[in-house]
Amino acid sequence: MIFAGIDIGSAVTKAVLINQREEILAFSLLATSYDRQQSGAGVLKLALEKSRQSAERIEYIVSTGYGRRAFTSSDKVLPEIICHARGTKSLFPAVRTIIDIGGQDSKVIQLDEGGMVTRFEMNDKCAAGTGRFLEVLTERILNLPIEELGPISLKSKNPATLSSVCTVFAESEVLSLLSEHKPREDIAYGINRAIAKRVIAMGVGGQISFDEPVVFSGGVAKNVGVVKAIEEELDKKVITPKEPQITAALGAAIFAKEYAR
Amino acid sequence: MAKDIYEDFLRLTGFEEDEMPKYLPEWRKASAKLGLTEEDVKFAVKEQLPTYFAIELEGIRKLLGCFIKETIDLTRASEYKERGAKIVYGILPAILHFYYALKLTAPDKVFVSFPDIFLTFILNSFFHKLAPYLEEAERTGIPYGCRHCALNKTRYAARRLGVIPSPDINWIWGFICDEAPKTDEFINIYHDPEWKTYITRLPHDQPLGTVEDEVISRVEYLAAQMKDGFEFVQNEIGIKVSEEKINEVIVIWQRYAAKLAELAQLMAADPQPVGAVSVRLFWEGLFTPFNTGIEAMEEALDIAIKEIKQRVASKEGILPEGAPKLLIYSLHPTVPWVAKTFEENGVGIPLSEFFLLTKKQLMPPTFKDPYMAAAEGWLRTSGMVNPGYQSEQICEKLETHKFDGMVFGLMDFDRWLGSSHRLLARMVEEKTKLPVFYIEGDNWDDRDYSLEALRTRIESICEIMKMRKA
Repeated sequence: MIFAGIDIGSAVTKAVLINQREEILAFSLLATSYDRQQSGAGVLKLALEKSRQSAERIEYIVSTGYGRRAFTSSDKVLPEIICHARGTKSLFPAVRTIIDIGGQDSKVIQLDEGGMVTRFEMNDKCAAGTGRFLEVLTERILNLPIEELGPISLKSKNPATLSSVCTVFAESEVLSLLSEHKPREDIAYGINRAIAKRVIAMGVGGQISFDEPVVFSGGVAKNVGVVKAIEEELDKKVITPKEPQITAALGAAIFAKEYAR
Repeated sequence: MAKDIYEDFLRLTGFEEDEMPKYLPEWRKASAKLGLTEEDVKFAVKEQLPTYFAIELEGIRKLLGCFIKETIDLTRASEYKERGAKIVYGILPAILHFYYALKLTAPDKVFVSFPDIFLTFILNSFFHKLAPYLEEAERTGIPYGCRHCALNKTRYAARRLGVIPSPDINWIWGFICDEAPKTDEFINIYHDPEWKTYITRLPHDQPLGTVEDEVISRVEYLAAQMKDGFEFVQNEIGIKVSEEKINEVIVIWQRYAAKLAELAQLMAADPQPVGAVSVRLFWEGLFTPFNTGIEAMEEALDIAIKEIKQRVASKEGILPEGAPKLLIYSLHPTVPWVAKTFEENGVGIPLSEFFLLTKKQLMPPTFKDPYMAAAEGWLRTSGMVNPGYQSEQICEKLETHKFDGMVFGLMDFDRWLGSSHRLLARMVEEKTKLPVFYIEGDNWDDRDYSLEALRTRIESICEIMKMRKA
């Protein structure tokens, strides 16, 4: 008997399969298409193939994420804030703060000692401070593959400052910096720092105290430059899961196990 | 069901058979003036009203009818003016005793209204069609995103579109924000030189936590401000109001408030007897003057209380027994899906904090002088500008009605409230140890909502509450 969690994000759809002991049997990731039902079904199929399990063995499915309601094969739908909290807590039982930066949204979640969500903040209406912000500035303007943004930014000696966190205005700022022949590594760190400042300000605005341990998840957590920038801004150590994109799907899978009872 | 959708609409909003010959043509005319089409009326009948309002209850239907009658009346304000009636407007929040006292003194010689309130409530709550007014305001001078709330934009657009006439006097209040007086200056300078305004202000200069109604100099100051304002209004329109009339209104106000306190008790019952949106408009009777009078509202309230009592007695509810319930700062039926989303996710938000009265607010005034009594009444509310005092009052309300937590926010349109809510949230959480949430958004105008993000927020709050309660 296995349990599935599907997180249909704006950019990437994730699936996690667990067993009764909450051990991860397999996980998979797939770019989210306009057809979220298809994305959910596709990513689940991939995970089943990786784990060599058949669909019949799935006892219960919980879907979460931006496209959670569009995936009609799930038994239950839950918001991603709750799933992030549950999934992250299973990996880091002492976690008190979660920073999650995904493709089009960012979240800061505060948990109490028992793992209960006490506060959360999400971005609204605007892609500033999300993976999309990094993607636009890095691939379109800096002409760098997104994977290289983190490593190159760590070479920065004199980080650039972006005064705007608006994706559109930041674009022209980066162009100006390039025209001033500012080194790419300095601009890269400036971009990473801008996203770090944005997400921290969002949390502070929501009266989140960023108690430790702080766990950083979501696709952007793969960027070592953003990790460093968040640590510098918070003056705290930040933990990154080995697979930072699957925490919400893992939480959904754990809820699936609980609801199956 | 009648073939005429306008007639269906009136039936659904509690109009009696014998009222049809008078009101059907008037409603057709009024809805056309408001910019509502037959399709809009059909949408209200088929979708909006059945989805969000407990129209199976006569008291709720009658309540909706009171708002329709008032709106019909508002669209006839130009006719009243042509016939010589004096037009007096106001804005929210205000002390409405004075407007009612004018009406009681000279019922046929004066027309009183807070036009933006009725237009905003009717157009968005019933038809989800306020956007043309807001867009008109934004297109012609109050740009999108400049933090002018939907009420201000609606007031301006309604004048611009000819829905309402110029007032003889617009008595407005700077009790909370400064945007409303600025809007009236804007209307006067840019659009309507006849738009005449008198402003009564109350500075936000009290130390945190001051119990303002117990500071006699404060009460006297506000009373003097009100008296000056009311004298100005009376001189402008040439109608003299006796102090007895104001006292008469205070008695009516207190009677209505006591009935609302009973309704609040019923709404806080477990299980929650009806959806929050259904009853919310009853509270407008305390804060917005009806030119058509408060009597019909009171009658609707009496019926609703009786019906809801029966539901409470039979444990009939819209949520399961034991469902978590949150106090929301201010629930607006203009974005009815917010409350509905909570309820669909198993959490009740039956009452609005701002409209609940504390024990002290329900007590008779200390002063016999009507201005002092009115000033004391307002200061007893803590006025939304004194977080120290207000947080104490919120704690009392949370305790009285046994709420499991509280939701602030949905006030991003207001510079003052948008930020003070964060402060209040922290103070209430520290004092009560209950979970307190904040939701970004605008509870007048949902054009700018990211529906998915807001739904995620609400669903998350609901899940947290259910987990905590479990």
